[in-house]
Amino acid sequence: MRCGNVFARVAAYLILSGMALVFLIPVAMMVSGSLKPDHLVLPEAGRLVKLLPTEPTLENYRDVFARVPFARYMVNSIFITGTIVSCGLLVNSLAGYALSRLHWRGRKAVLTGVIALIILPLEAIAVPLFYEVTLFGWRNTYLVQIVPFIANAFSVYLFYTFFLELPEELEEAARIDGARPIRIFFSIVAPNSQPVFAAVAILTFLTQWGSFLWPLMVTHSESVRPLPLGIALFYTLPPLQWGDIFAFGVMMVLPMLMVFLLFQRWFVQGVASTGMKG
Amino acid sequence: MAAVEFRNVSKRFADGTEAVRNLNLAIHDGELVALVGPSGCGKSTVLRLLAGLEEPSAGEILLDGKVVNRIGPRQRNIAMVFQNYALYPHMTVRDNLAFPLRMRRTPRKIVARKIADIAGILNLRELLDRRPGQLSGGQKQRVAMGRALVRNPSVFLLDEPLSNLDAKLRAQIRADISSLQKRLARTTLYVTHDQVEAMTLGDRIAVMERGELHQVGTPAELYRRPRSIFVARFIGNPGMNIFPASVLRDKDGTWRLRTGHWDIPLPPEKLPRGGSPEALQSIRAGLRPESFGPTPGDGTVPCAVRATATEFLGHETLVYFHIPGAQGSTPLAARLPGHMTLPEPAAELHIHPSALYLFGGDGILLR
Ligand SMILES: Nc1ncnc2c1ncn2[C@@H]1O[C@H](COP(=O)(O)OP(=O)(O)O)[C@@H](O)[C@H]1O
Ligand SMILES: [Mg+2]
Repeated sequence: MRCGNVFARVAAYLILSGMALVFLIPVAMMVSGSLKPDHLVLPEAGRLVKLLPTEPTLENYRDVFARVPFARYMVNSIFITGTIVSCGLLVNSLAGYALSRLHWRGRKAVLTGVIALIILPLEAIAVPLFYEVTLFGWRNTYLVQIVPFIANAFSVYLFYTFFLELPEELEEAARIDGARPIRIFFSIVAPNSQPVFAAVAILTFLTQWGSFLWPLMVTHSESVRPLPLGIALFYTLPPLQWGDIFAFGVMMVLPMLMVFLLFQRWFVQGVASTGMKG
Repeated sequence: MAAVEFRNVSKRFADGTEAVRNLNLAIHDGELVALVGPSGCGKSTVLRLLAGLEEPSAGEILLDGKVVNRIGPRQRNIAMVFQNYALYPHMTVRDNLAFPLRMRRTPRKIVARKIADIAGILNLRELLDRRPGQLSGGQKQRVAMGRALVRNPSVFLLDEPLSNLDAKLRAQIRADISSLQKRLARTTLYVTHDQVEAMTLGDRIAVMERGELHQVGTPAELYRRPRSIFVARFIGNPGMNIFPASVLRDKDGTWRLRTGHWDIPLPPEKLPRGGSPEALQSIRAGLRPESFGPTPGDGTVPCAVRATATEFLGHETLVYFHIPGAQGSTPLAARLPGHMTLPEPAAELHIHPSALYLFGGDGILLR
């Protein structure tokens, strides 16, 4: 029994380590490529023995800033994604709460609608949406990249299911103590729902940070375009320098890593400190 | 301060469960009514109806003579202690206590003063900066009481507040609640499944079973004149012994109660009024465990017993026995003073016939 357990654990660690390697090696190669001179990047890519750059250089990073307005892209991306994430947390959590706890006419129908919308991909509505925002005169703005993505069916659904599982007693206690629904939400429910807020924040950030198709359709000037369109710019700037692309990639991924680490800690803390399950 | 009244209140949940059926109950101003009954009988539902967390399906709930059926919990000024305390886990004890006051826009200074007051009364001063997760069960319980009391509610509701505590702490907090209630005299509905709590705390006790109210009365009334077998068994520890018996009239005209080898003459005040002879053949008789004595006394009748077990509890002994010659498998219990062992399986105990209760086939008290 004991032996079996130890064996199972060793096996589990081996498998997990293997998987971690599979995911980490490409990232390591990106970092390594970004530190190599341009002519070595492509020939050495995919050769593990050349993972450590022989003559590391920061030239590629310098190039990125010189050849494209990197800082501009970064600011745009942070602003757009940050706004979507923070507004999305507010709007979608309130919607999820209304669906899970309040009693109102048409609640079931709205819930069904939300669930149906989860499977609808952006590509399916991109063109009609494009016409709509054109009508509003929103093209080539921050607004057009933010507003359509704040309300999100999947986020609403995640909040909805989480709130359903919360013990209702706390909210009932608050009602008896004299709190109104909005107050209950902000003072009682939200502080005890850190895990779901963290999960939705991470998910929203990851999807929006890499958003490419929509900004490509609705923007045309660098002043409002996000990072993914910036990296694409290199393919149109001869000579094609892979080192620059790798350096750009590294800098683009860094905020993702930071956000993930930040919220992941919160996520774990939330589960541990409230002691709430589900 | 407030009076509460339930008028023909019923509650049927969406799934068809009828948790409360035609409840009529009045709680006077300043009175503590203990609502008892087995788990699942609808006690919590009654509390939740009064708190405004549930709406009655029929009937009216009155607070100080006003129908409050459609008024939400916020406007009722009722406070409640939940079974699991429902303390806000992310707030300190101080903030937990302040929450109901802040919801009523109480000025900061007064909040601080009231918290200090209640912390003094409930001995919470050292705990004010802790979070619920850092408190023991008894401390959580006190904080929950404090949060309920801090805003001077007109009605105070407690849902099995001691059920999550160990026996010793339970006795101590029970005494605390009792003295607190004497001092504050709040209109209180106290739910419990423990008859000891009900007896010790309740000005009156309301006994529920399967959504229906069996009887309401003072602890003494319920102990002396239980209206039904259910109440008789529920009140007292152990509850009343109930056994099948028949009542018949001797040739010489005296009425007697017979079961197995027992043959007890009935005193005049225990004579059944009316009732067909067939019905009297199969009634149910009741005797409290404390009605048995080890030695004969004035007017007692000897009863043969076949003891099966004895439990020595220190100040008293519980003897479990069967009635010789009677069918029925559940043993009866007798409480005898001191340390007592019945000499042999076949022994005698003595009862006073006036201690007998007679119940009809429907379980309702006859005499
Ligand atoms: N929200 C609900 N929906 C359906 N049935 C319920 C609900 N709440 C309680 N009940 C049922 O009503 C009955 C009484 O419950 P409750 O009042 O909690 O009993 P008690 O507090 O006496 O243990 C039980 O059978 C319970 O299953
Ligand atoms: Mg209950």
